[in-house]
Amino acid sequence: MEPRYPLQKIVAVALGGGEVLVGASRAGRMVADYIEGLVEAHQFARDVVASLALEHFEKSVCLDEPPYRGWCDCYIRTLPVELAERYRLQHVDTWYVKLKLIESEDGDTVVCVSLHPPEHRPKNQKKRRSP
Amino acid sequence: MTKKPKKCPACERGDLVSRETRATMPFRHAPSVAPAWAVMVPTCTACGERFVDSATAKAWDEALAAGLAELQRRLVGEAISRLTTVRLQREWEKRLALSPGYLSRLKAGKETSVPLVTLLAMLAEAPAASWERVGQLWSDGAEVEPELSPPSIRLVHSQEFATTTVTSTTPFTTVSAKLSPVRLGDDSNEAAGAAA
Repeated sequence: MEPRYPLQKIVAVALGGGEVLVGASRAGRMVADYIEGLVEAHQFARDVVASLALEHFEKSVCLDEPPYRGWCDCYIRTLPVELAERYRLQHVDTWYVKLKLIESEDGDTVVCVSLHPPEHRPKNQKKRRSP
Repeated sequence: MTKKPKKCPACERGDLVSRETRATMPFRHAPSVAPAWAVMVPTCTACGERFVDSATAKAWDEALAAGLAELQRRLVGEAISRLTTVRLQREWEKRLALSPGYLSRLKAGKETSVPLVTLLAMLAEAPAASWERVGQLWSDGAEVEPELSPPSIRLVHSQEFATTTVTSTTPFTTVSAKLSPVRLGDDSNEAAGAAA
Protein backbone atom coordinates (compact mmCIF):
# COMPACT_ATOMS: atom_id res chain seq x y z
CA MET A 1 0.00 0.00 0.00
CA GLU A 2 1.24 3.48 -0.89
CA PRO A 3 1.02 6.56 1.34
CA ARG A 4 -1.84 8.91 0.57
CA TYR A 5 0.50 11.93 0.53
CA PRO A 6 3.78 11.98 -1.44
CA LEU A 7 6.51 11.32 1.10
CA GLN A 8 9.10 13.21 -0.91
CA LYS A 9 7.01 16.38 -0.58
CA ILE A 10 6.44 15.78 3.13
CA VAL A 11 10.14 15.37 3.80
CA ALA A 12 10.89 18.49 1.74
CA VAL A 13 8.45 20.52 3.86
CA ALA A 14 10.02 19.19 7.06
CA LEU A 15 13.51 20.03 5.80
CA GLY A 16 12.51 23.69 5.60
CA GLY A 17 10.44 24.00 2.46
CA GLY A 18 7.23 24.71 4.39
CA GLU A 19 5.56 24.83 7.77
CA VAL A 20 5.14 21.96 10.20
CA LEU A 21 2.18 22.24 12.55
CA VAL A 22 1.68 20.26 15.72
CA GLY A 23 -1.58 20.36 17.69
CA ALA A 24 -1.01 22.29 20.91
CA SER A 25 -2.39 19.53 23.11
CA ARG A 26 -0.23 16.93 21.32
CA ALA A 27 2.84 19.15 21.74
CA GLY A 28 1.92 19.67 25.39
CA ARG A 29 1.79 15.92 25.99
CA MET A 30 5.21 15.51 24.38
CA VAL A 31 6.61 18.16 26.72
CA ALA A 32 4.92 16.56 29.73
CA ASP A 33 6.39 13.15 28.97
CA TYR A 34 9.64 13.54 27.04
CA ILE A 35 10.71 16.98 25.89
CA GLU A 36 11.75 20.26 27.53
CA GLY A 37 9.56 22.79 25.79
CA LEU A 38 7.45 23.63 22.76
CA VAL A 39 10.38 24.78 20.62
CA GLU A 40 12.07 21.44 21.18
CA ALA A 41 8.81 19.52 20.64
CA HIS A 42 8.21 21.32 17.37
CA GLN A 43 11.79 20.80 16.20
CA PHE A 44 11.58 17.12 17.19
CA ALA A 45 8.43 16.73 15.08
CA ARG A 46 10.19 18.38 12.15
CA ASP A 47 13.27 16.16 12.54
CA VAL A 48 11.28 12.94 12.82
CA VAL A 49 9.19 13.77 9.75
CA ALA A 50 12.33 14.73 7.84
CA SER A 51 13.83 11.33 8.63
CA LEU A 52 10.88 9.30 7.30
CA ALA A 53 11.33 6.81 4.46
CA LEU A 54 8.86 4.58 2.66
CA GLU A 55 9.96 1.56 4.66
CA HIS A 56 8.53 3.25 7.77
CA PHE A 57 5.04 3.58 6.25
CA GLU A 58 2.36 1.57 8.02
CA LYS A 59 -1.06 2.52 6.66
CA SER A 60 -3.42 5.33 5.72
CA VAL A 61 -6.45 6.03 7.88
CA CYS A 62 -9.47 8.28 7.43
CA LEU A 63 -10.27 10.19 10.61
CA ASP A 64 -13.73 11.39 11.43
CA GLU A 65 -13.45 12.17 15.10
CA PRO A 66 -13.34 15.80 16.17
CA PRO A 67 -11.27 17.76 15.81
CA TYR A 68 -9.40 15.79 13.14
CA ARG A 69 -11.03 14.80 9.85
CA GLY A 70 -9.74 13.43 6.59
CA TRP A 71 -6.98 11.14 5.43
CA CYS A 72 -3.75 10.68 7.35
CA ASP A 73 -0.67 8.57 6.70
CA CYS A 74 0.78 6.58 9.58
CA TYR A 75 4.47 5.75 9.97
CA ILE A 76 6.46 3.95 12.61
CA ARG A 77 9.97 5.22 12.97
CA THR A 78 12.83 3.92 15.07
CA LEU A 79 14.85 7.03 15.78
CA PRO A 80 18.33 7.29 14.33
CA VAL A 81 20.95 7.23 17.08
CA GLU A 82 21.82 10.87 16.51
CA LEU A 83 18.21 12.00 16.95
CA ALA A 84 17.65 9.81 20.02
CA GLU A 85 20.75 11.28 21.65
CA ARG A 86 19.98 14.87 20.70
CA TYR A 87 16.53 14.66 22.31
CA ARG A 88 17.62 12.34 25.18
CA LEU A 89 15.17 9.72 23.95
CA GLN A 90 17.35 6.62 23.96
CA HIS A 91 14.77 4.97 26.25
CA VAL A 92 11.89 5.60 23.80
CA ASP A 93 13.43 5.22 20.40
CA THR A 94 10.38 4.11 18.41
CA TRP A 95 7.75 6.66 17.46
CA TYR A 96 4.36 6.52 15.81
CA VAL A 97 3.73 9.39 13.41
CA LYS A 98 0.36 10.26 11.91
CA LEU A 99 0.38 13.17 9.50
CA LYS A 100 -1.36 14.91 6.67
CA LEU A 101 -0.17 17.30 4.01
CA ILE A 102 -2.03 20.50 3.23
CA GLU A 103 -1.07 22.00 -0.09
CA SER A 104 -1.87 25.63 -0.82
CA GLU A 105 -0.68 28.58 -2.86
CA ASP A 106 0.92 30.07 0.27
CA GLY A 107 3.07 27.00 0.72
CA ASP A 108 2.72 23.45 1.87
CA THR A 109 2.08 22.47 5.45
CA VAL A 110 2.63 19.15 7.20
CA VAL A 111 0.33 18.60 10.14
CA CYS A 112 1.53 16.19 12.81
CA VAL A 113 -1.71 14.69 14.04
CA SER A 114 0.03 12.11 16.26
CA LEU A 115 3.59 11.78 17.46
CA HIS A 116 4.18 9.42 20.33
CA PRO A 117 5.71 6.03 21.11
CA PRO A 118 3.48 3.25 19.75
CA GLU A 119 1.38 1.34 22.22
CA HIS A 120 2.43 -1.93 20.56
CA ARG A 121 5.45 -2.61 18.41
CA PRO A 122 4.24 -3.68 14.96
CA LYS A 123 4.88 -7.33 14.20
CA ASN A 124 6.19 -6.65 10.73
CA GLN A 125 8.90 -4.22 11.79
CA LYS A 126 12.02 -5.32 13.60
CA LYS A 127 13.68 -2.94 15.98
CA ARG A 128 16.51 -1.63 13.87
CA ARG A 129 18.39 1.63 14.15
CA SER A 130 19.44 3.47 11.10
CA PRO A 131 22.80 5.24 11.32
CA MET B 1 -6.05 43.03 -0.57
CA THR B 2 -6.34 41.08 2.67
CA LYS B 3 -4.80 37.64 2.85
CA LYS B 4 -7.30 34.81 2.91
CA PRO B 5 -7.07 32.93 6.23
CA LYS B 6 -5.87 29.34 6.15
CA LYS B 7 -8.38 26.54 6.61
CA CYS B 8 -8.05 24.56 9.82
CA PRO B 9 -5.90 21.53 9.01
CA ALA B 10 -7.72 19.51 11.66
CA CYS B 11 -11.45 19.84 10.97
CA GLU B 12 -11.04 21.45 7.53
CA ARG B 13 -14.12 23.58 8.27
CA GLY B 14 -13.13 26.64 10.25
CA ASP B 15 -10.47 29.25 9.58
CA LEU B 16 -7.15 29.39 11.35
CA VAL B 17 -6.88 32.74 13.08
CA SER B 18 -4.39 34.10 15.60
CA ARG B 19 -5.98 34.21 19.05
CA GLU B 20 -4.68 35.26 22.43
CA THR B 21 -4.35 32.56 25.04
CA ARG B 22 -3.11 32.27 28.61
CA ALA B 23 -3.66 28.52 28.65
CA THR B 24 -1.33 26.60 30.96
CA MET B 25 1.07 24.12 29.39
CA PRO B 26 3.62 21.60 30.62
CA PHE B 27 7.07 23.17 30.58
CA ARG B 28 10.42 21.58 31.44
CA HIS B 29 9.80 19.57 34.62
CA ALA B 30 6.50 21.28 35.52
CA PRO B 31 3.23 19.62 34.46
CA SER B 32 1.37 22.92 34.27
CA VAL B 33 2.72 26.45 33.96
CA ALA B 34 0.75 29.63 33.31
CA PRO B 35 2.48 31.85 30.75
CA ALA B 36 3.59 35.17 32.24
CA TRP B 37 1.77 37.00 29.46
CA ALA B 38 -0.81 36.18 26.78
CA VAL B 39 0.44 34.44 23.64
CA MET B 40 -0.99 34.62 20.13
CA VAL B 41 -1.71 31.08 18.91
CA PRO B 42 -3.20 29.91 15.58
CA THR B 43 -6.66 28.69 16.56
CA CYS B 44 -9.52 27.21 14.55
CA THR B 45 -12.72 29.28 14.53
CA ALA B 46 -14.81 26.10 14.29
CA CYS B 47 -13.23 23.26 16.29
CA GLY B 48 -11.10 25.42 18.60
CA GLU B 49 -7.98 23.34 17.99
CA ARG B 50 -4.78 25.29 18.65
CA PHE B 51 -1.61 24.73 16.65
CA VAL B 52 2.07 25.20 17.33
CA ASP B 53 4.24 26.41 14.47
CA SER B 54 7.86 27.47 14.86
CA ALA B 55 7.06 31.13 15.74
CA THR B 56 4.31 30.19 18.17
CA ALA B 57 6.52 27.61 19.86
CA LYS B 58 9.20 30.26 20.48
CA ALA B 59 6.76 32.90 21.79
CA TRP B 60 4.90 30.40 24.01
CA ASP B 61 8.14 29.00 25.45
CA GLU B 62 9.36 32.51 26.36
CA ALA B 63 6.10 33.28 28.18
CA LEU B 64 6.20 29.87 29.91
CA ALA B 65 9.83 30.33 30.99
CA ALA B 66 8.93 33.66 32.59
CA GLY B 67 5.85 32.04 34.17
CA LEU B 68 7.96 29.22 35.57
CA ALA B 69 10.44 31.71 37.05
CA GLU B 70 7.55 33.53 38.75
CA LEU B 71 6.19 30.26 40.11
CA GLN B 72 9.62 29.33 41.43
CA ARG B 73 10.05 32.68 43.21
CA ARG B 74 6.61 32.30 44.78
CA LEU B 75 7.32 28.76 45.95
CA VAL B 76 10.65 29.78 47.48
CA GLY B 77 9.14 32.81 49.24
CA GLU B 78 6.24 30.85 50.69
CA ALA B 79 8.48 27.98 51.77
CA ILE B 80 10.99 30.18 53.59
CA SER B 81 8.19 32.08 55.33
CA ARG B 82 6.71 28.83 56.62
CA LEU B 83 10.05 27.29 57.60
CA THR B 84 11.02 30.34 59.63
CA THR B 85 7.92 30.04 61.79
CA VAL B 86 9.70 27.23 63.69
CA ARG B 87 13.41 27.97 63.26
CA LEU B 88 15.60 30.88 62.33
CA GLN B 89 16.73 31.20 58.76
CA ARG B 90 20.39 30.67 59.78
CA GLU B 91 19.43 27.48 61.65
CA TRP B 92 17.80 26.08 58.52
CA GLU B 93 20.82 27.10 56.46
CA LYS B 94 23.07 25.19 58.86
CA ARG B 95 20.87 22.10 58.86
CA LEU B 96 20.51 22.05 55.07
CA ALA B 97 24.22 22.77 54.52
CA LEU B 98 23.48 26.05 52.76
CA SER B 99 25.90 28.94 53.05
CA PRO B 100 24.95 31.70 55.51
CA GLY B 101 22.51 34.16 53.95
CA TYR B 102 21.65 31.83 51.09
CA LEU B 103 17.94 31.72 51.96
CA SER B 104 17.84 35.53 52.07
CA ARG B 105 19.38 35.65 48.63
CA LEU B 106 16.80 33.15 47.37
CA LYS B 107 13.99 35.26 48.80
CA ALA B 108 15.46 38.27 47.02
CA GLY B 109 15.15 36.44 43.69
CA LYS B 110 18.44 34.58 43.24
CA GLU B 111 18.06 31.76 40.74
CA THR B 112 18.40 28.27 42.14
CA SER B 113 17.93 24.66 41.20
CA VAL B 114 14.58 22.95 40.85
CA PRO B 115 15.59 20.19 43.35
CA LEU B 116 16.31 22.80 46.05
CA VAL B 117 13.01 24.60 45.46
CA THR B 118 11.20 21.27 45.60
CA LEU B 119 13.00 20.32 48.81
CA LEU B 120 12.21 23.63 50.52
CA ALA B 121 8.56 23.46 49.47
CA MET B 122 8.20 19.91 50.78
CA LEU B 123 9.98 20.70 54.06
CA ALA B 124 7.68 23.67 54.50
CA GLU B 125 4.58 21.49 54.41
CA ALA B 126 5.28 20.51 58.04
CA PRO B 127 8.15 22.71 59.21
CA ALA B 128 8.54 21.40 62.78
CA ALA B 129 8.42 17.74 61.74
CA SER B 130 10.78 18.48 58.85
CA TRP B 131 13.31 20.05 61.21
CA GLU B 132 13.32 16.87 63.33
CA ARG B 133 13.34 14.56 60.34
CA VAL B 134 16.28 16.22 58.62
CA GLY B 135 18.17 16.05 61.92
CA GLN B 136 17.41 12.33 62.18
CA LEU B 137 18.46 11.68 58.58
CA TRP B 138 21.92 13.09 59.23
CA SER B 139 22.41 11.46 62.62
CA ASP B 140 23.76 8.18 61.28
CA GLY B 141 21.36 6.00 63.24
CA ALA B 142 21.99 7.64 66.62
CA GLU B 143 18.94 8.57 68.63
CA VAL B 144 18.27 12.23 68.57
CA GLU B 145 17.08 13.89 71.72
CA PRO B 146 13.79 15.57 71.18
CA GLU B 147 13.91 19.31 71.10
CA LEU B 148 13.04 21.01 74.38
CA SER B 149 10.10 23.27 74.05
CA PRO B 150 9.10 25.80 76.69
CA PRO B 151 6.92 24.13 79.35
CA SER B 152 3.29 24.94 79.14
CA ILE B 153 1.55 25.69 82.39
CA ARG B 154 -2.16 25.38 82.75
CA LEU B 155 -3.98 26.76 85.72
CA VAL B 156 -7.47 25.56 86.43
CA HIS B 157 -9.27 27.34 89.20
CA SER B 158 -12.60 26.15 90.40
CA GLN B 159 -14.61 28.72 92.30
CA GLU B 160 -16.96 26.09 93.73
CA PHE B 161 -14.33 23.94 95.43
CA ALA B 162 -11.71 26.64 95.68
CA THR B 163 -9.02 24.33 94.33
CA THR B 164 -6.29 25.13 91.89
CA THR B 165 -4.63 22.54 89.69
CA VAL B 166 -1.26 23.36 88.20
CA THR B 167 -0.14 21.25 85.26
CA SER B 168 3.30 21.67 83.78
CA THR B 169 4.14 19.80 80.59
CA THR B 170 7.55 19.33 79.05
CA PRO B 171 8.47 16.77 76.37
CA PHE B 172 9.59 14.41 79.12
CA THR B 173 7.27 14.87 82.10
CA THR B 174 3.88 16.00 83.12
CA VAL B 175 3.63 17.29 86.65
CA SER B 176 0.32 17.89 88.29
CA ALA B 177 -0.20 19.30 91.73
CA LYS B 178 -3.47 19.98 93.40
CA LEU B 179 -3.31 22.79 95.90
CA SER B 180 -5.14 22.30 99.17
CA PRO B 181 -8.67 23.63 99.26
CA VAL B 182 -9.17 27.04 100.69
CA ARG B 183 -12.33 28.79 101.47
CA LEU B 184 -12.37 32.10 99.76
CA GLY B 185 -12.62 35.08 102.05
CA ASP B 186 -11.98 32.99 105.17
CA ASP B 187 -9.60 34.87 107.44
CA SER B 188 -9.07 31.80 109.60
CA ASN B 189 -6.70 30.44 106.99
CA GLU B 190 -4.50 33.44 107.38
CA ALA B 191 -4.67 33.10 111.16
CA ALA B 192 -3.82 29.38 110.88
CA GLY B 193 -0.90 30.22 108.65
CA ALA B 194 0.37 32.82 111.07
CA ALA B 195 0.04 30.40 114.02
CA ALA B 196 2.00 27.77 112.11
